[in-house]
Amino acid sequence: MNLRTFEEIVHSHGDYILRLCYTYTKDWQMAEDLTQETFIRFYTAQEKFRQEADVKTYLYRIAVNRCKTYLASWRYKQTQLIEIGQKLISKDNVALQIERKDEAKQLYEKIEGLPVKYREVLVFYHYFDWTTAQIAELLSCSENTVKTRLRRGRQQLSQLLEKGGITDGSD
Amino acid sequence: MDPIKKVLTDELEGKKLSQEAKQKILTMKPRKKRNFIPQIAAICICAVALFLFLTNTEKKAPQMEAANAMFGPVDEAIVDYFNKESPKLQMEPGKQEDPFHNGDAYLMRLALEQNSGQFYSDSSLTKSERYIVSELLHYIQEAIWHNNTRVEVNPVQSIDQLVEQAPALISQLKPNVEMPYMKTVDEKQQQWNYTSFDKKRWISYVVVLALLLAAIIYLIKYKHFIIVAFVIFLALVSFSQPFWQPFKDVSAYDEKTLIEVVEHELKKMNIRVVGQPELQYAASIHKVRTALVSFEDGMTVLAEFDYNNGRYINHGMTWHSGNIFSNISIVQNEQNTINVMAFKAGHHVAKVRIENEQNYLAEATLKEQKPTIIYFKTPKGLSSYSRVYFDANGERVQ
Repeated sequence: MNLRTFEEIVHSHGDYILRLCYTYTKDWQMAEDLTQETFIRFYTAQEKFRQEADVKTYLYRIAVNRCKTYLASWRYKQTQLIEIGQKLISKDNVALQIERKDEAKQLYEKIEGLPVKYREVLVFYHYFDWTTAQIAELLSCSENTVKTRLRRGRQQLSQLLEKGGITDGSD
Repeated sequence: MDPIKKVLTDELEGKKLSQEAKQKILTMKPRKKRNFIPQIAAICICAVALFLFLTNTEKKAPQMEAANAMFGPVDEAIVDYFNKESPKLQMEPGKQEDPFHNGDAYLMRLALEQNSGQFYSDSSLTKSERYIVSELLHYIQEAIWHNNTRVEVNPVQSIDQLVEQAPALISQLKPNVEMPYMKTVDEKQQQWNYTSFDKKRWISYVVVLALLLAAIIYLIKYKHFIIVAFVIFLALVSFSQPFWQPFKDVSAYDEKTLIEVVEHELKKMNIRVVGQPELQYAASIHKVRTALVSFEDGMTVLAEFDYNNGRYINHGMTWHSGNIFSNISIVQNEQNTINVMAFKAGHHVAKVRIENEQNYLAEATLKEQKPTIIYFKTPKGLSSYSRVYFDANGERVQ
């Protein structure tokens, strides 16, 4: 792969990879770092890249793996604990903020609150418009598993929204 | 558009990879490596805190050994002392045959009272009881010496009985006991401002505190709050350790200064100093510093003094000071020694000698005609000894 091709890939997929990483990390700065890592890894590991494989799938797989590695790291867990602490400190303020948020914002927060395995299939399916087969290939699982996770993810989302007094209206 | 897609699009759309990030990717610049400095800083601080936690710079063990060597269990020693000495309080004023005592009461008080905030004796008494008993010992000592009061005293079976009797006895003894030096001490207490710290200790404080502060600022800046909390916890634990005591209590003694002062005073009196002096223990009684310093030739000096703006002042506290004897000769010195204190107050004594039946063991020549405590080390096998006093002509004083 020459530099020009790589540059084109960065320009065409960079923003999407960034957004994908954000859906995992919920932190734009970290998402940007992971995006950089993803592309650098993609470039340096190109000899492993099977030309017959779809560049997009390969790139997204690297990104997903990088994100999951990060989510399993001590650094992420530490960040989570800090966030919990901060939420506890400003509990009342958060409550007020939530009240003021519109329903769309609340829905997004519920999606963010879903477990990763449900969140990722929802994001790929609804935002990136991937098919369940494509998602299954990316996540190295069966299509049925993807479908099940999609269904359960939506169910959980509905339950969460009902608790909050909102209907999502999704099928 | 389904709501999930709409929400995701609203939230994510428009977010773009920054030009800087793109440039870094295209130039193959890996993102900054994970920063290990906070972890290293935290480990360093924890190591320092643990070091302070595990290090007792006040030589607690030798102090315990010194107290044990002198008395064994201090509570029992006090009871024995009281039963042995208190009959003297029943003598008619002015009829006391031996107004002098061996100074054990003084050492017992050292063992009872605080040493930089920590008790080091094995006494079973509580803090307040220790002070009461210490006061009682003090007044008994004074009353016997002055021999100007008569008090009925019953022997006691235990230290608890003594504690019960103590307040009543103190109130009987106190009005008749003159203690001009106490007043002096109280006045001097107003001026107390101990500033003469060991430089090394000060440097240690500054380094440790700076390190701690820098680490905490750094860790907070990079949001390593859990590590910060851990570091602060360890630091707090370490601050309770004796290492910090002189920092927190500016009137606390400093070992090096005490030894230097004793050494200096001895040299001023032309007393031979052999080898490195070692502080056996130090204590504070009535807010006056007392140090027991031993030398390699077996000489042990008990010195009592106070400080004025970090400088030793030798006036006003000569009552017990070691600086009023002009010469000490240790005649016999063996290993396995015990400590014996000689005490003499009088206006006609020039020399005091510690001896037993076979030979004399140590002697000291008094420089001034004032009450003096001289501290000797004598052979451990010594079961009994006597003090012999001589006048300026070398004649025995009866």
